[in-house]
Amino acid sequence: MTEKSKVKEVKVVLLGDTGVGKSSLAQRFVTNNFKPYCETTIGASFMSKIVVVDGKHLKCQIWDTAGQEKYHSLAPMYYRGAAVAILVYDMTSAKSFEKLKEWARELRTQGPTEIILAVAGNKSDLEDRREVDTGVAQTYADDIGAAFFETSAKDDRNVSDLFTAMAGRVPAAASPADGFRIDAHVPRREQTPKRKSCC
Amino acid sequence: MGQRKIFALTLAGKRVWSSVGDEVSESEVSSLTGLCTAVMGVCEQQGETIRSVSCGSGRIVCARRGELVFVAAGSSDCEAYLARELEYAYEAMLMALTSRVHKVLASSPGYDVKELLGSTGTVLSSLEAWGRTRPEPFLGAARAARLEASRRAQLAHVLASARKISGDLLVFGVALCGDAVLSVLQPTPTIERRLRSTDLLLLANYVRSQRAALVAAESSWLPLCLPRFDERGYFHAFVAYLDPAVDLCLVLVAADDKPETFATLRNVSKAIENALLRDGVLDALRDAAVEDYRAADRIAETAKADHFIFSRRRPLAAQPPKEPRAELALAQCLSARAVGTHHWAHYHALALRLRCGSAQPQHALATDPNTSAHDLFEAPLAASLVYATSNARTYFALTAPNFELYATFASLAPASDLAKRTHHILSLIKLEEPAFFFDPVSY
Repeated sequence: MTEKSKVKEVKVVLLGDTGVGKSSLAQRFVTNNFKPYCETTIGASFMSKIVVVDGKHLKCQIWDTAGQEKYHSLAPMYYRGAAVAILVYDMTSAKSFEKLKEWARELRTQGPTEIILAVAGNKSDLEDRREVDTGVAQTYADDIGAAFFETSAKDDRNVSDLFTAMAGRVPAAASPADGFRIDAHVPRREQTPKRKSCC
Repeated sequence: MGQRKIFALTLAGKRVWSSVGDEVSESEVSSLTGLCTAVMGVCEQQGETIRSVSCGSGRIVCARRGELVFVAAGSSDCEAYLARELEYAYEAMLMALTSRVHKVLASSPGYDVKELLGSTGTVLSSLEAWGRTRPEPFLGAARAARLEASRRAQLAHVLASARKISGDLLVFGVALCGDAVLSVLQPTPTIERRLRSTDLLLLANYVRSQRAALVAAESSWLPLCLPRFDERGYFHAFVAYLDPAVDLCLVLVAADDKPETFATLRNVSKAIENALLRDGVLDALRDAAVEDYRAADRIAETAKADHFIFSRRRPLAAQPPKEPRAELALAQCLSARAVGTHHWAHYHALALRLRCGSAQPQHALATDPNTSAHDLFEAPLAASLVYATSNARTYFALTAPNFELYATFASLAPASDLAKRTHHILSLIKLEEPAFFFDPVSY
């Protein structure tokens, strides 16, 4: 068995209000970059990264969903197939924490029963603007059976720990083969221009 | 009135989007929009439609589209130009929201469409900026990227194969380099149902406007509407950059939004990339991206033109009179790199003269046997041209059933000389037509 075929897939979905930093967390984890101004996600973005947990290679397949209300109806498509849901709020916004609770309720009623949850309070670098106390968020996470992290995509605080820890909890499925092959060689019949009848 | 401003409003007068963002306060906008909605209301009561209001050197153009009102104000642009900008703004809005936005507003006139538009407002802003600085919206044609014909055939073959392995999930496939189109896969077009060049233009703009986010992701799954194809619903587009360094991008459009469809298209995208890599096509595409405007610039230099844009409505070799399939071709354009934006206003003025019938159909270019356009146009009698001079430059426009050409020459040359130079541009384009333009792959 090759090393590549040993890689297992873990599907992770990021959910939360618009502007809480879901894309920034995903980008920090996958590319180790941070952009102070990040365009708002439209639809959903997909990223992947292989991590090693307890000597096992895991391929995190991350769905970064749009937080805007108009895309809410699309979210079930992403969390239904997910093994992990990371619910993100902005710790400088109490409103975003309330929105997170809505996501948790929706997942409880409509999400996969086995889905593993994490609550991530992002923007922990903005301590002086904090609106959500650590204790309150930790208690809420405990209540819903979720792991809790305070993160900063900007300062790279707890981001890798968040994804790696969650991926490590998943009984991973085997990675499906890609299976498609295309040949760019144009068959001869396609190279020959079609002759047109003169009449 | 100064700089051009465009606004989209609801019938209740709520601002949905504006080209100046929030720089202009609500109170400043309300006087303009109040005037427009009031005048439009009065006219509608009389069974009339208002198109524009002139005030001094300024002009305000209005257009009502269903439950939305679009207003453009400017002092340097003509009515037709502003009206076209409004049409684009409306179609870009449909691309983000579909025509269902009218239904929402009809049932709740006070609905906050600005909130609904959200981040897709950048799509409109990007298009508006594009229209100010680039020729494609002016011509209503997507810019084609130059690619050697054999490589283009390989890319077309790969896209056609991608459709087959996708299990018919792939509806449209578009390969872009920057905002120029390398190839297009589409359903066999019919008069009623076909991909229009405007939709292609809007798609290229949509991708361009979201570039930073799209490049940051491995791939993205975007809901988007192709308004001219079907304004009522969304397609979903899988978007992946094959090489962000040169803006090589693949857009695979499906009719449904299921993650399983995304997964299939992701595998299809990988298969496309592998095929292009194996056979060296990807390197050719990278070269095409780097080449970008250079080939057109060389033509301009050879013909001693400051600048030109050429829009092909259908293949030059096609028999123009009435071959139905030729009518279904996608308009594409080729442009030399513009220095400044002074060309557009002059080209637009010439285009208006051509459309108003003040052209000279039997001018030197069409009648001089040495510069006869017959072999190029195959419809000399239908070719029309106009030119104008300004600031020691000559602006020249020529239209025929299958193309439009606009050029700028840095001299006040006699008409016969202009005719020779224009003929030179046309002959050089025709010489490399298969490289300059793509034939969409239809299935």
